[in-house]
Amino acid sequence: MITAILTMAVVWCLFYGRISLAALTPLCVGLGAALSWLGRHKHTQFLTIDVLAQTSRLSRVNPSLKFWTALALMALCVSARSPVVGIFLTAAMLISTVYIGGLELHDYVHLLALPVSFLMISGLALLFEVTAQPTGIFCIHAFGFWFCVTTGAQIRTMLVMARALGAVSCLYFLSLTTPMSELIGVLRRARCPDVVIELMYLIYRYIFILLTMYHTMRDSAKSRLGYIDYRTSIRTTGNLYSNLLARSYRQANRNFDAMESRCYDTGIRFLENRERITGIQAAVAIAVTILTLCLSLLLY
Amino acid sequence: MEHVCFRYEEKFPALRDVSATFYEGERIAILGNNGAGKSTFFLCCNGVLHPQSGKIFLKGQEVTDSKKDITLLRQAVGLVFQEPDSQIIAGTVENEVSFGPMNLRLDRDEVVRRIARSLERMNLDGYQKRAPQYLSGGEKKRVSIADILAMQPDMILLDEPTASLDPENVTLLEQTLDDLSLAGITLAVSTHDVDFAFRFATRAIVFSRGEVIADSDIGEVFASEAVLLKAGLKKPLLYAAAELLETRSPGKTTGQKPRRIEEFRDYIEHLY
Repeated sequence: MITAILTMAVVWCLFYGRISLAALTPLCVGLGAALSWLGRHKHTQFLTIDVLAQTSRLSRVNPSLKFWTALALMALCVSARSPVVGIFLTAAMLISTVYIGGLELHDYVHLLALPVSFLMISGLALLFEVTAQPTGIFCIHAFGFWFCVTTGAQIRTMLVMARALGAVSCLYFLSLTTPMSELIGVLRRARCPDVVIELMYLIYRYIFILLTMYHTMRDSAKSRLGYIDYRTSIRTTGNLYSNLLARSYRQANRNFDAMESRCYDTGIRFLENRERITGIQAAVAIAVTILTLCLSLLLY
Repeated sequence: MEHVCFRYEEKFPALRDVSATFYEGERIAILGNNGAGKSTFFLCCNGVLHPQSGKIFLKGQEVTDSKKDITLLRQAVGLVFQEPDSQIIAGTVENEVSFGPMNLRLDRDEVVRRIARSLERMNLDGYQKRAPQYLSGGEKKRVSIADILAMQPDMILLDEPTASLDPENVTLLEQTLDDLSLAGITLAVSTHDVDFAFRFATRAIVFSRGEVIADSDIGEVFASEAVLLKAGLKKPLLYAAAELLETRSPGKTTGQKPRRIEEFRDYIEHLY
C-alpha cells in the first residue's frame, strides 16, 4: 500500500505539466490500484528468493551467461543518457523473469516493493527543490519555503529512477533465476575473494534464519500480552531485538561448528550443475545486450 | 580418547579426565543430565573442540593439531547435531549433502555418486531439489544424517537424535540406525530418552558434571542405583517393569531384561 501511494505521488509529480490532468489523474489512480492489488498480502508460505530461483524455468540456463549478461545490461543501464533504456530493461527483465521464468507476477511485485519504495522516496527528494520564491511548474508552500517541481528536476528524476529501476530489475532477474550455490561458483571462477563470497552467502542465509527467529519470538511475546499498550510494546521490542542479537550470535557459532565438523576449511563449496550454453541462449543474450547498447547510443 | 580435559571460556570444566575407546560396529548410548558434558564430548571426538589436555587417537594413531590429522578425524567421525537447523546451510537437499564431500576435495563424479547413495539410504530419493528449511522435522533429521553419510565415516555421533521427533519418525530413525549398524558403522547416540537408549545400545557411557561415572554394558548401568542417582537418570519402563515382576517371582530371573515390547511378551511367558 505504501509503495502504491508513493508511486502515485511520484508519477503525478513527474508528469505534471507534461500530460493533461484529465489523463494524469486516472493514470496515477489506476497505477496505484494495480500495484495495491498485485502487491496484496497473501496468506501463503513466504518463499525465499533462493527457492524461487530453484523453481524458475530459467534456472537450467548456464549461470555464467546470466551473470555476465545481467552485469553488462546493468552497466549499460546506469551509463545511459535516456530513461527509455531503463524502462526497456525493466520491461525486458519483467518478461524474462515472470513470463519466461514462470514466476508469479504477484510474487515479483511483492519482492520489488521494498526497493521501489526506497526509489520513490528518493524520487520525491530529487523532484522537489527548496526555493524562496515559487519558480516551478508545481509548488507547495510550507514552513516559510516553497517546495517546487521544475521541468529540469522532472527530467533528472526520470533518468535517475529509470536507471535505478532498470538496474534493480537486472539484479532481480539474476537472483530469481540463479540459485545462490551457482552464483558462488560463478564468482569463484571470476576470481572473487573467498571471504567476500562467504560473507555474501552466509549473510543471505542468516537473514532468513533471523527472520524466522524474530517471528517466533514476536508471536511468543504477543501471546503473553507483550504488545498490549504502547509502553509495553516499546519495551518488548527492545528486549526482542537484544535477545535476537544474542541468539543470532549463538546460532552463528553453532552453524560454524557444524560446518567445521564436516571438514570446512575456507571457501564454501557445493555441487554445481553446470549447464552448457546453447546457441539460442547465447543469441538471445547477445541480442538483448546489443539492442540495449543501440538504444543507449541512439538516445544519447 | 585418553584423559581428555576441556573447559570453556567461563572457566567451568566441561570435561574432566575423560577416557573412552570405541570399537568397530559398537552401539553406544551416551547418557547424563543437562550440562553433564555429552555435547562437549561429541565436539571433542569430532575435532571441532581441541581439549586443553589429553590425547585423541584414531585407529591407533594420535591425532595432532595438524590440518591433515584434524581433517582425517572429522572425516572418520561424523557428528549429527541436535538441531538440524544448526547444520543445514544450503538451499537444496542435494547441495546440503554435497557440502561434506566437496570439502574433502573429491572429484565431481564421486560427489554425485555419494550424494545419490546417501539420499537413497535415507529414503530421500526425489528430495534433491527440495529446500531443506521447508521440510518436516523428521525429513530434516534424515537430511542431516545423509549429510554425514556422504562423507563415509567409520563412526557417527548423534546428539539427541529423537528430540522433537514424533513417534513415527522415532521408529523410522531407529530402523535407519539399525541399517547403519548392520553396515558396520559405529554409532554413539546422546539421549535423555532412556527407553530409546535401552532399545538401541549395547553399551552405555554415563556422564555427570564432566566426568565419566560409568562405562559398561547398558543393562549393568541401569542395574546400578548409585549411577542412576548421580546422573539423574530413570530406568527404562520395560526394564523397571521386568525388575518389578522378578521381585514377585524370585528364582525365575532370566538375566537379560526385555528391551522391546515383543521381547517383554516372551519374557512374561517365561516368568509365568
